Amino acid sequence: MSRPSILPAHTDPGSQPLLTTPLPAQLRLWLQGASCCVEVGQRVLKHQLLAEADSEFGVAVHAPTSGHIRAIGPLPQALPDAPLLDGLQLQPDGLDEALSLPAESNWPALSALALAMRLQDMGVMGQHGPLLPLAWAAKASPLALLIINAVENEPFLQADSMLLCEQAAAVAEAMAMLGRILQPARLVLAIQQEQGAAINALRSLAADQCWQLEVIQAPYPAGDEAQLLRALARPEESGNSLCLPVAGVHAAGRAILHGEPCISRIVTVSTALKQSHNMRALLGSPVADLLTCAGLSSQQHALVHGGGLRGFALPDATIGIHQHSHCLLVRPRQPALTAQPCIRCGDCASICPSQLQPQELYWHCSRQELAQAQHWRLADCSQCGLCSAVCPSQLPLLDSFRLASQQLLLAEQQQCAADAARQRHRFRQFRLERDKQEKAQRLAERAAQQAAKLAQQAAEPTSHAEPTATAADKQAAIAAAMARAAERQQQRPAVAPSVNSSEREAAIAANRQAAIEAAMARAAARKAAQEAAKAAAADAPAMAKDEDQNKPGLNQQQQALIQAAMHRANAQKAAASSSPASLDQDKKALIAAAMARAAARKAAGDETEQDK
Amino acid sequence: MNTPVIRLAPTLASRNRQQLLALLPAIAIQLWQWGPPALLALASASASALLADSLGLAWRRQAIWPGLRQGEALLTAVLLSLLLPDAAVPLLCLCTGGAILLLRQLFGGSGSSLFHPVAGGLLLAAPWLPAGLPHADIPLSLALLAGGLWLLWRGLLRWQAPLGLLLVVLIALPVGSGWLLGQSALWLLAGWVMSDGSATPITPRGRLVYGQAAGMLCISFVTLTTQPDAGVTLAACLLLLSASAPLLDRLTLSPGPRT
Ligand code: SF4
Ligand code: SF4
Repeated sequence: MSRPSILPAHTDPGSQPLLTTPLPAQLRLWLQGASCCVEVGQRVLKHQLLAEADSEFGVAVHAPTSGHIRAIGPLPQALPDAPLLDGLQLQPDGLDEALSLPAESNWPALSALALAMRLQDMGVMGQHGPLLPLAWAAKASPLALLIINAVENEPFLQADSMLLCEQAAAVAEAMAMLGRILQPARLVLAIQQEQGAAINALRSLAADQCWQLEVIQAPYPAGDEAQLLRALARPEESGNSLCLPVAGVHAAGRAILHGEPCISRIVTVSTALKQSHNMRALLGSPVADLLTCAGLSSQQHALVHGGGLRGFALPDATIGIHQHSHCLLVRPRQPALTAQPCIRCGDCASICPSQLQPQELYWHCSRQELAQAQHWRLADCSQCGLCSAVCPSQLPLLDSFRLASQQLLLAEQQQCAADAARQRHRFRQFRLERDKQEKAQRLAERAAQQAAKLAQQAAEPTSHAEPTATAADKQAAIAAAMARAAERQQQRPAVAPSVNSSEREAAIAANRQAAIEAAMARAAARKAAQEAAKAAAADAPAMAKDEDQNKPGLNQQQQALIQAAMHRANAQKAAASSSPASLDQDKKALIAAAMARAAARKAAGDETEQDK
Repeated sequence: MNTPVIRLAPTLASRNRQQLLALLPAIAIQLWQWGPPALLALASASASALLADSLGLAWRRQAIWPGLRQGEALLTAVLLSLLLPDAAVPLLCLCTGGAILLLRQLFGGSGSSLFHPVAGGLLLAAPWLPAGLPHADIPLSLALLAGGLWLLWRGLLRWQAPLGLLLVVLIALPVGSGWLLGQSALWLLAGWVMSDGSATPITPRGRLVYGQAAGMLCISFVTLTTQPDAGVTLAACLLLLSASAPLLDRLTLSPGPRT
């Protein structure tokens, strides 16, 4: 029994147009590893940030259209047997008012880490979490092989083919962008032989692309990341290659080149192999709306989320689609089947692409013997569903494997709660690292601008700048150190952000307070810095004459700065202790500190410039 | 639990139906050879099998209709009546029902039975069988071979064990095993009993070994002792080897290399 002969062949989307779903009455968005930054009742605009990532594996959520936030709380997930997950309900107001999108003009200067975080902030998802894994991006090791995965060979799936047919040029653009920033030695677009229309669309693009097209002929699970890497990576490349889904790559292109966050995706709604509609739907659209758009009713049908082999039943049609909802199958309702006992025919083992023994695995998984299941390599199961599809006894093999893996994952997560704290710490370090890189860049730019400006104004150059300059440096260093200390104080309590709504409100109020105080502190700091600069400028000629005389002046400056910094630190500490810590607050404090530091440095810089 | 949207292989019920279908030519030939009594035997064996199966299911507190619908009991009855064409009808009914109750239901239903009910039933009936060298039944054998090949073509025959058996029989031709090939019992047991999963090892390698061992045992018994009936001898060998199937599974089944 060979797989290619028994699997129905891939069907091309053909000449059917890409539909667009009408605006739904309600959008349900999940927050996965993201913390909400809007309130219930607030009006939001299209593309507005609703939640930002608070861990390495989360992605930000943006408003797919303008409207009001109606609820924040647990929602059912489109995952079999998964617990409720925090989500948002957005009621569109039909105006579709959008924020203006600032496109990133100097994206080629982004580092891999900055790109990864920008994609995370734009809500672009990959297989798990952000499109580019942050841990990978932070390592910044040279990339040997980058595979863009457009292979679509699970029966019923068409979304990626449709995307390529419609947006081949945009996908090519996005790939060029990734190639430019990540600099892989080899950039490959993998596609299945049966996706004829998509291949033609790609071939019709200009020939001088920086990527190659790899046409895969292997049967079904060949589109899996692991299988694809095994098939395409040369031995020397296998250590450092990356495989990205084409839908994510397309979204990344929109995000980086056009500044557009990811708010929609293409979904295939299919009733039979040859009867399908492809539509672009906003993330969070209820499944029922998609069915209506395809001319079906959700009442008389059983719904399956996913393709023909991996799909699972959806309990109800109000669930919103998410970034991995590539396909919805609408089936006639059937009586629940009664599974027969395993007859040990061995068909599942002979078809399993990972060479597992599904019957043994099932025996242990259905008895909750997870340790034994791990011994039978549950971890290597790619959950392709082939074993379930051939089992004559119709045992729910895939379901039991999925459930067991989920339980293992949950146990793992519970076991290392401390890990979560480490996670968050790591995540913050990624952010700080990126911020540092960006700030250095910004400061360099500003310094260059100022240098140019000052060069024009420079009328009275003085020659005795050195002592003042070093003194100013010292002041800046002190201020920076204090700001850093304040920062550190800020970071400590921020271990467990809560999602309780009253606490959230308190946190938001505290944030505002903190922001006001920070602004005041900033103003004070700026004033102090300006005064210090002025004083330094006034002192400079005097200093040239008498070194002893500038000591009191310096002390004055120092004191002013120290006072400002302490004031700042106090304000932040007060803000931190007034509420359970929240990440926003942290971030704001960080920004305030950074700005104070920048101001101090600028003051110092001005001084030296003026002194020159 | 979810239904898989795409089924890539027939379900148990349809598998058993097709196995029955593959027996149709053989049934036709037997009816032609034995006349109406064969039909009576077939009908009563089937009734007895269904009765025994429902009794067993009720006793195990299982749903009766879904169990019967799988068609395993019917398949057992047809196989036994083909294997025992000259047995008296009551004997046939008794060994069919007994085998199903003792070897299938007592062990906990299809799949968990360690010994195949057909082989067991044949052995149960053996003491009362008329002695004497059974004649070679070439038409029946050919009909069975055709049915087996059809199953193979449909991808429903797990061919490793029958292949092992046939290989041994062919290799032993110089010793005088040729007459075995004319025995319809050999083909029946090879194509419909040895290809069953529950009483044989589960890995392909294990099955091949199982088939070869059964062939060697059977040939040594037939040539070294005076037992003339190849079917009964082979059934005994199969039962003997079924007991070792778990061991063979243990030896050949491994989680595989971790990746
Ligand atoms: S779902 Fe897992 S066990 Fe089943 S065939 Fe696929 S990889 Fe093998
Ligand atoms: S395919 Fe089903 S019946 Fe056959 S061995 Fe696997 S689990 Fe058992």
